[in-house]
Amino acid sequence: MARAARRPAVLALACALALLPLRAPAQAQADEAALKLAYLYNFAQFVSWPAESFAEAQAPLVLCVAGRDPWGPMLDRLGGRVVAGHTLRVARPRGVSEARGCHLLYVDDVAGQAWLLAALAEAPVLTVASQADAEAAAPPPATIGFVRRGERLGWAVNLELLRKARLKLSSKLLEMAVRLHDGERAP
Amino acid sequence: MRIDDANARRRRGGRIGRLLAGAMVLALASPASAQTVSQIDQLLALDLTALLRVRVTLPSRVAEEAFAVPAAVFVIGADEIRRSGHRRLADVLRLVPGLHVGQIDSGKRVVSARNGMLRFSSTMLVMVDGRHVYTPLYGGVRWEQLDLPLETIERIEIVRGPGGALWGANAVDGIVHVITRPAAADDGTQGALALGSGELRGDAVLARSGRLGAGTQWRLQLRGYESDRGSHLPAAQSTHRDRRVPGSEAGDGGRAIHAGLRSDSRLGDGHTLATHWALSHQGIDEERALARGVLPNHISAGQASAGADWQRALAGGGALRLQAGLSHRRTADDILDERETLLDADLQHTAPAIGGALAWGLGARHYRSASTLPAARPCVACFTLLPEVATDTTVHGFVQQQQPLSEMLRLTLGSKFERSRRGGFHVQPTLRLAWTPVADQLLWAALTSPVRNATRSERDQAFVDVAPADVALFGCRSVVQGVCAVGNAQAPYWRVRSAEAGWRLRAGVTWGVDLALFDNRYDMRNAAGSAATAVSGSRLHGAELTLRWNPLPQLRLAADLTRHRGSERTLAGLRRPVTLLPEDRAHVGVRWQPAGHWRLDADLYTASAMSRPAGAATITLPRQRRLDLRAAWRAAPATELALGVTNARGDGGAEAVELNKVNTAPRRAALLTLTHGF
Repeated sequence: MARAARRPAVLALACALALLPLRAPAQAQADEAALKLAYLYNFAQFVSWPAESFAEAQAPLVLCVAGRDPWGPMLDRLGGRVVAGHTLRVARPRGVSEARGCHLLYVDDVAGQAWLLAALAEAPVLTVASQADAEAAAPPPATIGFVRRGERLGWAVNLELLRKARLKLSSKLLEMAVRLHDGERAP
Repeated sequence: MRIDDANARRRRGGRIGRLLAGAMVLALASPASAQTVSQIDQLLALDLTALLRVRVTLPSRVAEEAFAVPAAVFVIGADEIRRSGHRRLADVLRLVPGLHVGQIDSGKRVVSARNGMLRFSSTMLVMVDGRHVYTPLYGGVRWEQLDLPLETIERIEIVRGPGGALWGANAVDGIVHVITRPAAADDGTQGALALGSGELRGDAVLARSGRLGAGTQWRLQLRGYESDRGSHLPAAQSTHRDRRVPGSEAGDGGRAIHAGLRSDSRLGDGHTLATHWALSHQGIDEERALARGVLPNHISAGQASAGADWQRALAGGGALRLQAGLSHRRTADDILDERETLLDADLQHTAPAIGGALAWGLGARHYRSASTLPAARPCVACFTLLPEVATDTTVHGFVQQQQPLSEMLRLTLGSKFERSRRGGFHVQPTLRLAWTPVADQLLWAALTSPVRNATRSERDQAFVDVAPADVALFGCRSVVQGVCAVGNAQAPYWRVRSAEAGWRLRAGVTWGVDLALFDNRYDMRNAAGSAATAVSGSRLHGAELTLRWNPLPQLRLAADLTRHRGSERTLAGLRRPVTLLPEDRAHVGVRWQPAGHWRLDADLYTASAMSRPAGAATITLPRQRRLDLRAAWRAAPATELALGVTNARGDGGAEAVELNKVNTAPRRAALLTLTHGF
C-alpha cells in the first residue's frame, strides 16, 4: 500500500529527471539584491557630478544607502575600490545633512524614505530607488529607478529630477534604460 | 500519564527552543555567506551590457517590503504562487506560517488563522484589490467562489492577528488581501491549460491585455475549470452516520467559469483610476448528511461585481484614495435560495504630519440579504433565515499616526470607530511599537482590541417544519407554525484583547528569521457592552516561527513551525481545549533551480490531530502529513510546462469539518500545466 502510494511521486521525479538532459545551456543568474549592488557600482562610472561635489580632485566618491540596507557587510566590501579616479567610500546617512554628503544614494524602502528623496531633489546626489512592479510604468521616485521585467532587472531614468540635481548621465546609461521619463511629457 | 504528557511537551518545547537558539546563532554569526560574497565579486566584474543579461533568481523586494511592518505579516509573490503548484487560492495559503488550510470536500476549503477548522467559524477579513469578499451572512468566506485566475495575482498579503486601525470589522484573527497585477504590467496574451486527476480534471485560463488611448490599459481574463471528486473518509473521521466505504468516490465535484476585466488609467496630474469587473458562476456538487440518510445537493452560485479605485498623489508626499465596490451573489441549492448585495465605499488620506505620517479615513458598507425556501421542500427541519430580507448599514472611520520616537523607535497609534444599525457602536484601538536596534533586525510589539460583530446567521437562523419532539434538540427560542427560531436578534459580539510581539532578523539575502508570539482573549459581550451571561469567552496563545535560508542563488529553503494552544469556557462554565484547533504545524519548502530552465519544488506539511465532541461521539481529524511536488521546464521566458503531484503520499485524512455534510479527504492528484505567453 505504502509502495503504491509512492508511485506517482516516483513517476513525477522520473519524468523530471528524464527531461533533464534537454535543458538549455545555463545562463548567468543572481539574487536581485546582489545584482542591484553591481549596477550601483557600474552607475558610478557613468555620472558626471558638478565640480563642487568634490572638495578636491582626490576626494572620495561616497556611496550611501538610506534606511533599509539589503546588503549589510557585502556593501562595505566595496569601500576602497577606485571608480573614475575616486576612492569609493560607503556610508549610511541618518538624516538629510549627512545624505547631502553622498554622491550616490540608494533607497530600498521608497515609502519610508520619501521625505529624504524629496529633501534631496535639488542636491547633486544620484538617487537610486527600488521601484515596485506595480509602479513599473510610473516615473521613478528618484533619478534612477530599478525596474524588473520578468526575470531581468533594468532601470528607468527620471530626466526631470536629473536636471534638478544638475547631474549628467552618459549616453550609454540613457540608451540602455528601460524607460526615460520627462515630467508630464510622454514617457 | 500526565507526567508522560508533561515530559513529551517539555521535549517538544526543548526542540523548538534549541532550533530557535540555533537559528539565532547561525543568523548572527554568518551575515554574508562565502557563496554570496563570491557572487558579488563576480557581478562587480561585469559591465552594464553583461549585467542586463543576468537573470534574477530571488526577487527580494516582496520580502523586504514586509520586513519593517510591526505585525505578523507574510507576503506570497506571483512566482511563489506559480511554484506552489496549486490552482486554488485557498490551497496557495498552505504556504503561510500560522495559517491552517483544510479541505471539506473536493471544492470547499477552510482557511483559519489562530482558530478552529470549522467551515463557518471564520474571523478573517478577506479582500480582493481592497474589496471585501467575505459574506456577512456568516462572517466567513466561501473560498470555492473565489475563482479568479491565479496567473493574474501579483501578490497575496497576509496579516495574522488583528489588522489594526486601517482594516474593517472581522479583521480579528487575520487579513488576507489578494492584489491583482495592474493591466499596465502585462502585454499581449497569456494562456494556461491544465489537465489532471485527483483534484482538478481541467483548468483553462486566457488573459489578454491591450491599450485604449494614451493613458489606459486593460486586461480581459477568462477561466473555466472542473474539479474531480474526493474520497469518502474512514468512520472515525466522518461527521455522519450513514457510512460509505472509505476511499470510495464521493458525490462532490464541481465546475466554474469566470470572466473579469481590469482597466488602469493614468489621468495626469498624479491621478490614477483602476476599475474591476467580474462575472462568475459555479456549479458545486455535495452530499448532505441527514438523520434519514445521505442526499445529493447541487449548489448553483452566480456572482457579479464591479469596483473602482481612484488615487491621487498629493504635493508634499501625501496621497488620497477613494475605493468603491458593488457585488451581488446568488447561491441556490435544494435548501435555500439566498441573494446577497454588498455596496461599499472607502476614502483614505495619508499625509506627513508632526514629523510622522497621519492617515485617516471614512467608509460605509451597505448589506442586503434575502433568502427564500425552494417551492418543493426536500427536507425536514430545513435551515432558513428569518426575516427573509435583512439589511444593515455600517459606517466607519479610522485615524492613525505613525510617529518616529527616535532613529530606532517607531510608534503607531490609532483607532477604528464603527457603527452599524444591528451591531451598535465600537471603538477598536491599536498601539504598535517597532524597534530597529540595527538595520537588519526588528523587534515589534502590539496591543489591539478588535471586535467581531454577530453575523446574520447568528441573529436570524431558523429551521422550518421542526417536529414538537425536536424543539429541544434544535435549541429553538420560539416555535411558530413549525418554524423554530434559533438565532438571537440581540446576539452578543466578540471583543478581543490581543497582545503580540515579534522579532525579525535577516542577514543580507542569505538568512531570515521571523518569530511572532501572541495571546488573544476573546470576550463575548451583549449589545450593552457587559459580559454576556452564557459563554464568557476563550483564550488562545501561540508562537509562529519562520526560517529562510538561501544557500545558493538557485536554492531557497524555508521552514516554519507553528504552535497554538487554546481553551474555551463551555456553557456549563468548564474550560476545555479549543475544538478542531491544529495545535502544532510544520512546513518545509524547497525551491531549486538546478539549471537555467528547470525548477524543482517540494513542500512537506505536518499538522497535529484535532478532535471535536459530536453528541455522544467525538470527531477526530488525524495527524496530517502532506507532500506536494512540482517539476517545471521553462522553455522560454513566457512558456512553461509543469507537472505537479499534490498530496503525493496519498494518505491524508479529513482536514476540516462542515457539519451535516459529507466531508471528503484530499486524494493524491496530478496536474500537467502548460502556460504560454504570446
